[in-house]
Amino acid sequence: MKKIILFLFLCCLLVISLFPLCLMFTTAFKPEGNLLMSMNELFPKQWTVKNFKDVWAAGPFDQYFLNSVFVGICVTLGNIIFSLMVAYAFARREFLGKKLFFGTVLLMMMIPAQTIMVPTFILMKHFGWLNTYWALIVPSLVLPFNVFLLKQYLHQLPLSLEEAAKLDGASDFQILFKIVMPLSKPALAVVGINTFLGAWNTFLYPFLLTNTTEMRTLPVGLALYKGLHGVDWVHLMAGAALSSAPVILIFLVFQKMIIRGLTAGAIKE
Amino acid sequence: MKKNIFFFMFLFSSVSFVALAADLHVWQFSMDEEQSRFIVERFEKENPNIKIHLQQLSWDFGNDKIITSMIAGNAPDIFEIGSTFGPHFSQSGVLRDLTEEVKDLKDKYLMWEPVTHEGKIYGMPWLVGTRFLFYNKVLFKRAGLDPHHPPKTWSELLSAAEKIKNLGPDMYGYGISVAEEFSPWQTFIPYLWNGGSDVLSLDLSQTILNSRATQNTLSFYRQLKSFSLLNRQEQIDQMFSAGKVGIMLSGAWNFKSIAKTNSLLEYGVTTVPTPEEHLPPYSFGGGEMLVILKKSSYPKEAFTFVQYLTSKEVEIFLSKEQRNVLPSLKEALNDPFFSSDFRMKGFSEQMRFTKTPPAHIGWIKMERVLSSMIDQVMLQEEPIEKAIQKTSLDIDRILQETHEKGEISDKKLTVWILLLIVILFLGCWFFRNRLEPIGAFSTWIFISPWILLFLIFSLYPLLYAFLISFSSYHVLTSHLSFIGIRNYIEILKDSEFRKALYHTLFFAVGTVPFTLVISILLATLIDHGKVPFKSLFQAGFFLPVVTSIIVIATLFTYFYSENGFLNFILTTLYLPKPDPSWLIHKTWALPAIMAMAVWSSSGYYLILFLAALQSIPQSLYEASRLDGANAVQQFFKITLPQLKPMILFVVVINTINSLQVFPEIFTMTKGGPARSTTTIVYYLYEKGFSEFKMGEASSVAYLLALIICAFSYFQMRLLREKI
Repeated sequence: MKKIILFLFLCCLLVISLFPLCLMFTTAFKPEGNLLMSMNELFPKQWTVKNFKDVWAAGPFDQYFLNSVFVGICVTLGNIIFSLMVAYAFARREFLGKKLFFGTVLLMMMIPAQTIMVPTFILMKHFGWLNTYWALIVPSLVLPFNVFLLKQYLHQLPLSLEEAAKLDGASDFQILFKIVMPLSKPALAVVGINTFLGAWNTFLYPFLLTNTTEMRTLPVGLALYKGLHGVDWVHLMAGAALSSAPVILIFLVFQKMIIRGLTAGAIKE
Repeated sequence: MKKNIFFFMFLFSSVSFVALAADLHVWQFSMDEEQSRFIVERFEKENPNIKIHLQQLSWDFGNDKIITSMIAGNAPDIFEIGSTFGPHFSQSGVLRDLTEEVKDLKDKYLMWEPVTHEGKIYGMPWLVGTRFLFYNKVLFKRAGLDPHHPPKTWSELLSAAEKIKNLGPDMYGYGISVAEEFSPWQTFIPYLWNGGSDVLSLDLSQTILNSRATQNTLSFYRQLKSFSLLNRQEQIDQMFSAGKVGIMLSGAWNFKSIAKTNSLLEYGVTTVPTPEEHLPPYSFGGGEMLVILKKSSYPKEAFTFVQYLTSKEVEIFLSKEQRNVLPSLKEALNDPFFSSDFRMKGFSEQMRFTKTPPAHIGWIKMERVLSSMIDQVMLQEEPIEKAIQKTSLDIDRILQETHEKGEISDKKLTVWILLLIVILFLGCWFFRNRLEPIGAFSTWIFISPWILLFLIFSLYPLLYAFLISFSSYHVLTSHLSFIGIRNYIEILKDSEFRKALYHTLFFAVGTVPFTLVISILLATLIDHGKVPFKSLFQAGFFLPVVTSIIVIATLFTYFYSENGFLNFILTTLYLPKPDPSWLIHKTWALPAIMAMAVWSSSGYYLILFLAALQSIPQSLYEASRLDGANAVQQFFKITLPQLKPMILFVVVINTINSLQVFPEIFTMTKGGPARSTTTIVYYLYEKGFSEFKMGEASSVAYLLALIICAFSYFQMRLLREKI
């Protein structure tokens, strides 16, 4: 009995959680027309894919999509490798200025991105990186949040395995990538999802740093579409659905892996 | 031999000829890719020595982009600006003086005011528009009004609006735009002008708003309110198109959207009503200006292209294509196209009676103040006289602001920054803990990615922002002079900043605890409840996190709108709903955005807690079960204490994120209504990118960072002890 109530309660919350997204997808399929009349219907009376076609025809969305994927993958891989290295140094090693450097990590988590927007742009210009992938990838290769998260995680890993490996003559890099990395899978899964989502959805920097159609990412392309074609809900929702569908799909496909990563690597003392 | 020389000379000259082809970079908002391709191709055929690189900008963020590249010295040769920004750019001294070139064109075009400064002209008007009256002929007939005689005077407008309102409970006589940045004042100022008042005196030195005429106009406007729909322009446009609003003052973009959403609507367009008959019906005019940068290497070619874009053919072509703009060339308005159709006819009729807002550099701030005045009178029932007085005071304050001059180049600033870095480094080295080991070589390799990226992409920009937070820095001109801590004092004295701070704290206090409780509870229920379909729940709750915040904000604007789904649910359940609707309600706008924030971020923390729950040893639960503890006791005695590090982490991170809330506000409310959702980062953004005061913006950022640091510090202290 208790279980049934619990189950129903969770179902209710699930509906609340998913309802707005459903609304987005179903509205995207509604025919253009007097929307005011059909706003109260969850499902369209006639289903149409015209809105998607319109949005897709308005720009090289396949190119935007590829750009987003490329930038997302590079940034994610970079963070998995580099953030782990940095976090490992903070968690396990003693070195000069450790507290100070960790302080800079915390500091960068607290500074709003808008603060350093203009100087960053100037810097990119001096490097000649405007309108290149470099500008979109390099500054985010080690995100402070990830370093922080991984450091917290590494603290609670048992030291014994690393010490044993060291006795067996493993090098520092071997210890990090052969022993610590596999043990950190759950935290790295969180870092991975986190970073990819962040990179996929980020708007302001790609918008400022790119100039041509070939370099735009999906959110930038969408914002430009919205700017030119005004707001009619069906098209906006179609555009929104188009840009979120890929990540939703990726998440649903890898969902098992991600959750398993979270559970399998759990440390039981 | 000689032949060879000639040959080489020929070769050389042809090479240099190719190299001489001018590369013009043009940034614009108004043409879509297809139209611009067509136009550019034609131009390049006629002018083979000019190559055009056209880039399209978005309306929402285009200005940020122009400004950022202006600071970086990377701006295009030609760009398009809205007339509102005209004064800023013309006074900045970065635009090319076109007075000589356009001498003969002056009488031929409309709307020079925005690009004129002290008698000199810095741009060309391109495409123009105005606000005019739309009325629904069917509703006129039903209300017993003559559909061929739209209201010409204020009293006719009032009585027509009343009759239409009386047609039914969901009918509105008129639509009054409120709770946003631009539309409220743009649709109000025609009445203000026609009522005999204005915002600034002719010489732009003082405000003349506080007058009998303004009071009369506002009380007329308030009378109109009882028969009107109060909402954002977008909603009013939609309701007009749906046949629920009888009359509205709006713009030409409606032609297309009405044709799309309700092509059968019978409506007419005409000029703005005046207090009495036979007065010139002035309305607000605005438009797009083309300007050339002083720094452009090809000023002549650039002007050739500007002339081409403002030629009769191109302007008419664009008006015909887009049907929501008019040519700035007066002669082009005589084209039969503009009298062929009742819509274009009414539109161009109104265009002959347009005024532009005062070309004052502070106008961008004043328009915000004006819109806020309308919100106060319309939404908050503030006494008219009081609202006008407050607004005049605000406008006076804006008028008194002065602009510092003085120049420091980017290079000097960089030298300063490097110097600061060296000093910082030496300081750290001197005060280093001598007991600490330097560290192994491999340690430094591990840490190097962070150090490198931090030094280049964080420390340099941070110090840059730090230095300009102590200076007055006008971004358009890059005039910079050090003024000590005056920015900080100004900011702390500004009541707008205190309001923004209050909203931000309210946001954080209202979201962080909810998110925390929901995510812990759900994580524990999913993990320990042993319910079926566990992974379905995990995925379902996480899904909102996957979606981009811009998408979510757009989606919720739809969800929260007057006829949106939320109000539909409330009506179905016979529950009260706020009036006016959520996002334009002064008290409910911020909580509505907060609810969205809780919805969209809980899933993320849920996953973090799920991960943390895995690391709690099962033996603890087993032992307690043997001792007879129930699920609730287990939760409080085992789960919560074990989750402590993660709780601390989530609270700190979530607080930091909440204090930096921005994209939601930017997409959903732009700080309105009556500035009730302005947060600190939004305030910062306005300072830097619409008032062009980077210095003040940077000091806001540093104040915010300070607040965040303080919060995080106390949270860490408190939670470490408590739990």
